[in-house]
Amino acid sequence: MANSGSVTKSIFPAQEKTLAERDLDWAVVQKVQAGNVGAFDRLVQKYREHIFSVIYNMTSNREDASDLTQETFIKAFQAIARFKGKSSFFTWIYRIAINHTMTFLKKRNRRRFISYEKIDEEVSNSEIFERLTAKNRSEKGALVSELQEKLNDALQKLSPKHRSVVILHEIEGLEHAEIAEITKTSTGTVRSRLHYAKQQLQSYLQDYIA
Amino acid sequence: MANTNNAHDKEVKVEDLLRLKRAERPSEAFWNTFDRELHQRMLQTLVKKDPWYVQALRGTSGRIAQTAAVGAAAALLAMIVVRPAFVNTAAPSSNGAKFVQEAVASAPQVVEVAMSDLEDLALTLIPDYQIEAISGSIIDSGYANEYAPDSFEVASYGSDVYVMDTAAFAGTSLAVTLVY
Repeated sequence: MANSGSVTKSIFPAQEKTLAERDLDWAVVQKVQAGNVGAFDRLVQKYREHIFSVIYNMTSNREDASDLTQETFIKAFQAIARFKGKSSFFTWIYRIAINHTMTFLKKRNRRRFISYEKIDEEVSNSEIFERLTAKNRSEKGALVSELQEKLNDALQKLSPKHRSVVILHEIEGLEHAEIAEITKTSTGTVRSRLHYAKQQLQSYLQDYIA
Repeated sequence: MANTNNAHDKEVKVEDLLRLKRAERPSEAFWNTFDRELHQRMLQTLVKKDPWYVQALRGTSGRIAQTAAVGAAAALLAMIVVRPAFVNTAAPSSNGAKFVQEAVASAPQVVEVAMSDLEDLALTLIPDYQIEAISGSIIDSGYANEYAPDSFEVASYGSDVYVMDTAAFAGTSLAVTLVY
């Protein structure tokens, strides 16, 4: 997971969410609880990119996302003694990240400047960009920047609750049930929020769709 | 039909656009800085951090302290508001003499002691004051009087749990009992 290359192919491969994976995390957590502080680093390496991705897409600001991701891990570290393993560590750390980011967004009374990560070269050469370039008859480099801005802008127009569900499902690739567990809602609520959010995004991004 | 499917496949959907966001990811240099900063912050946390059981204890003791503070405030309020009200209602409003009689009747029984006993007691006690007069009054009854030392007798009574002095005033039915 420390290998960042895995992120583009699959945000959360199915096997990572198996019971064995959960047990593996739980074993590491127990080591940390027993006083092996260094073991926590394994959890950081495993989840840092996913947590950063969620927070980055929630805030559209890489500096804020970096700070909030660090704070998420610090919070998790401080609370790990109370983690009983009733849910998976993965669910728990995502929940901390989402809640911490929600609190941050509430306090951020005015919208800060947006600072993006650079889009990976591989993706800008992908089929979807070929289609978009052909459709919009624009230069690819310009289209990448424009689309990135429009996408982030559209996401920021959603309410934090709707945004988080879209990010967790469409970008992180989590299932409805997992999102429901993280956000402590029902799967029905998750589906409903997802449906509404996509409708909103469709209207914001209609220039690029179909 | 095949053409329709192809056309459909080539449609760009919201989901397709959102998946592009997966490609927005930081460089290795970013993660190096991130790891270094996180380790520093965690080290600071570790230095400052109390063991989890101390934190839990602090949480519990905080709740106990909070409960105690509320209890103390309630007790103080009761002493300020309720007690004077109780005292006032207990005090006689009209018939002072009757109240005094009842008070005397309900007081612990006076034990008569011989003056010689008192004199013996006086040898062991060295008073640091001299009584010139005792003034007595009963609240809300209009009764007030002053008594010289030769007008009252003092009897002393001791037990394991309290010490009691009783003064019976000559020429009156009045007796004052001090329990301490």
